[in-house]
Amino acid sequence: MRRYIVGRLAQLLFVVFGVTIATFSLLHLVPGNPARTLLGAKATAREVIVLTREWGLNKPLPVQYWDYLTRLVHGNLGTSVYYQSPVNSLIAHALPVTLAMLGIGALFGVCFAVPLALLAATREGRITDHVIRAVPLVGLGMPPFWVGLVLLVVFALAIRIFPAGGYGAGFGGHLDSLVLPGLTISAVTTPILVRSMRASLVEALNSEFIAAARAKGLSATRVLFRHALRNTLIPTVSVLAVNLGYLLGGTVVIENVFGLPGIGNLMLTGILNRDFDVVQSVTLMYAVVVVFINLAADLAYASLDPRVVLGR
Amino acid sequence: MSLPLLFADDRVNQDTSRPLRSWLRNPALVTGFLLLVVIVGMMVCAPLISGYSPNQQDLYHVLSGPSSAHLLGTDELGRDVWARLLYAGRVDLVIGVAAVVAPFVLGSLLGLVAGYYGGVIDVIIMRLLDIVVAFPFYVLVIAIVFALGAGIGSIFVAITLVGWVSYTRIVRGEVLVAKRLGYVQAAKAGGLSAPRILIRHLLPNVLTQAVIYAMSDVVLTILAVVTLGYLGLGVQPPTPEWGSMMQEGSEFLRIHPLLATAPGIAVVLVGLALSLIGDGLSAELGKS
Repeated sequence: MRRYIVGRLAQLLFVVFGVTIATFSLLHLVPGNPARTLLGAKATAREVIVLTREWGLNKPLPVQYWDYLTRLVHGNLGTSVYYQSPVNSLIAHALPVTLAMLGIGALFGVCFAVPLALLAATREGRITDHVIRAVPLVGLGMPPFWVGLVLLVVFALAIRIFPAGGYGAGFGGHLDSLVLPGLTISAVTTPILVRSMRASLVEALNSEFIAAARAKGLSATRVLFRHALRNTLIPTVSVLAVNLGYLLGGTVVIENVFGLPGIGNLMLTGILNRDFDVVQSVTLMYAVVVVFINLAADLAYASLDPRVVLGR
Repeated sequence: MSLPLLFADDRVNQDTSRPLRSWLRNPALVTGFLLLVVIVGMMVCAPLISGYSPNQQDLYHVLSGPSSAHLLGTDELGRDVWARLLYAGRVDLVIGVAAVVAPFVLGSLLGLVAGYYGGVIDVIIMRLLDIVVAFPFYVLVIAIVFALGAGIGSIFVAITLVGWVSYTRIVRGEVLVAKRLGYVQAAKAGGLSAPRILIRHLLPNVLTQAVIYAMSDVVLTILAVVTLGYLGLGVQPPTPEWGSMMQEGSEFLRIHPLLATAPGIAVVLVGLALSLIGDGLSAELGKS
């Protein structure tokens, strides 16, 4: 176990290192001089030169990368030109909003997926099963932000039970404003979860330990909930972890639809204002979150399933 | 031999010699294909069905609701929403399909090489892949399009740079299994060159899964194009595009909700058609 964690951390360090090279390269994908792009056509040549020097764009690339890396290691994510404040504090304010939204979305997804998967698996091959199996086909083709717009029209404008945007005030206000975004995310998580949960439930229900539990005379509900459902836990965690990148990416646009001040919106306002440090650092932050949540998921397998032995 | 058994044998033979007949009996494949034909047909015949040009403004009739003159009403510039919806479909579908080609080719080739040669080449390609998948798909695509500047060209570059990873994973996995099989060993023993083995012998056998994945990848790519359009980073106005239509319409959610929601229904229908085809294909191709 310990050897596994050390190896996994080394791999993680390598990936994070590669990720910083990628985000560093991002600035150099900008056609022409980024300083010129930021200042616009009206800036004088002198102003452009000053900013070019300030950003160190006149130095050789390896030196620039080394400067970038040292800055990151010191915990400095740069300064926002638009907000006139360090990117660190901007991200520190925005990240909890995104994580809260993601958590609620995953929770809603599980709440919808468990009953659907149970229904489908217990009626395998019948009409209910076929209808539920069609859910992913429709669900995965829906643009997440479109689901958000539809929910806004129905639950914020037609029936006014939820706020149409913003993050509200206080804990209750936050929670209130996260319901619709959470439901939007669950439109992505539910189809993914239903598919994998149904498959593992069907497999579990046809296995010998379920037959044994039934033969023992346990009630049908007890067999289903205590014995079969437990076996869907691991596939659920792994399928959420595998799709985390896709989910997290989707939150960028969902935050925009609902006007939530998360890191997705931070990135988009950064793009709007050509705020390079913000875009670069938020992109980096997203990758770091993905890498660490994947590590957490890997370690969670071991505690969820005693049969999993890591590092062999 | 009894008659029913003869009959059954006959049917099996027919199915393998004429795959088309088996394909036509697959409900998912047929439904998806028909749906796609109807959708594409409507887009191709857009001038005949809509009667308006997508950019024709009518400032006396802005934001009108559905009527006999305008099936889905008009937008804030008095343009016919139904006409824009159809013309936008052409743009989104063509980009969605075309943008999958480069990642498909690049990813499959990298997977082929990584799986066949192994060693250092494999390590380099797979570590590169680890780095790309560390980023959420949309975040990296949005960041690259931002850096390169909004537009169709940037979308192609971004989707290629991010999208190759799935194909590499799929093809590499297939190659790792296939290269131990007899036909590859025989080709090697026969003294064929590595490129010849890779292209002539391995590629046709490992590509099926990649082709099936490409179907769902088209759906994901169309979603990405629409999302970029919604964020103002995609196809630039006045060219009609589903994402930018939804963006423009989202300002009028209260008075004219159809503006923002109708293009989404079109996306869902296209996605459904392609997913059904993908499911059907994987069932049919998985048989052999």
